[in-house]
Amino acid sequence: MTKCYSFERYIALRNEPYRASFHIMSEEELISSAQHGDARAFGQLYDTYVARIYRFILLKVSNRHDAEDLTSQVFGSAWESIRRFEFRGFPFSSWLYRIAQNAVIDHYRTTRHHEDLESVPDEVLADRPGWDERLDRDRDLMLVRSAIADLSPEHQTVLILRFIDERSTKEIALTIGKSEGAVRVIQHRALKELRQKIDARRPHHTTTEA
Amino acid sequence: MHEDLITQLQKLNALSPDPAFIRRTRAALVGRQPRSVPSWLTQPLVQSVGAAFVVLAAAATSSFFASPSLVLSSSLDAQSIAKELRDVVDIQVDQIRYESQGSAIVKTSIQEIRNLETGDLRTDLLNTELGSFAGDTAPDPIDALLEQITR
Repeated sequence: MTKCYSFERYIALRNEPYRASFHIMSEEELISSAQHGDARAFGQLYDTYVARIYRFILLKVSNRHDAEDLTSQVFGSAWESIRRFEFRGFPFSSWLYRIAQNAVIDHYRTTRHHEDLESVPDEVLADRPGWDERLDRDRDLMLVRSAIADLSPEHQTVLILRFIDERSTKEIALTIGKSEGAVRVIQHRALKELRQKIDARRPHHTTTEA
Repeated sequence: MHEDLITQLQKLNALSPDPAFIRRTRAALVGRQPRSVPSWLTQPLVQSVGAAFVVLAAAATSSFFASPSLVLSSSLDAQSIAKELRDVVDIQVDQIRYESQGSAIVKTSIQEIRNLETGDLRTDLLNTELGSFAGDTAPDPIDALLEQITR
């Protein structure tokens, strides 16, 4: 007696290897593979998060070279210690942000150098790679960026994660180790402080507004 | 209230790293393995090796007590034990014999010492000697003649 397959079943069996090869791994699967030493899986995680982490660091250190060095350090540390990462309600991104935050703190602790964007000429600021040309032409955006660099680290973190990277309040709370209510309070204060600093930086802002 | 400010912040999302930097860093990361712990040294492996070590240690301990070594087995041989006991008894007998002979010699020596050194203090000997002196109390004829001359 011969086995009879339907046409659909035949097609499904024929395509099975292709489907397997094109299987897109979930983030959990990628992390699990990376924890078992799969460098390609970690490479995919890197592709997903490198821009966010770089942006997070750049807005804090205000220097492209330092931001690149610190971004490399963050992913190097994450790769070294990925086996210690555990899924306990913590998103992988919050783990990376925490490593980045600590890297920035260590950076300031060791270099004791903080570049004040106010003292940097606008032409130099605009020439920085990674800064979109359209953004360079937007003086308001440069003021915003300069004012962010002048905020406290906690206010910086909340504003960057909430409004630039569009993270949820819950994820920010997990990242900075505070309650969601506390994050909302910090967010409100940070926005208020940011506006004050921008207004203070705006040249002849009283006359321009008039 | 801060809508305009939030809109400005959202525009900063356009910040992105240099593509050459992304490629360079990615190649460096993917090209190396984590150094902290070897990739094959996973937690289940460590647990398995630990459990195997405990089992081996327990097996070695039990086998040691179940089959004693040559020295231990020879010391538990019945003939050897009997021989050791006989030797001990012989030694004890020799000791008793030596001590009994020794005590006879000591007794004789004490007797001799008593006769030689303290014999003059014995009451019976002193009385005998005193009796002999008493027998000599009769008047001597020479003494009588000398007394007549002096008169």
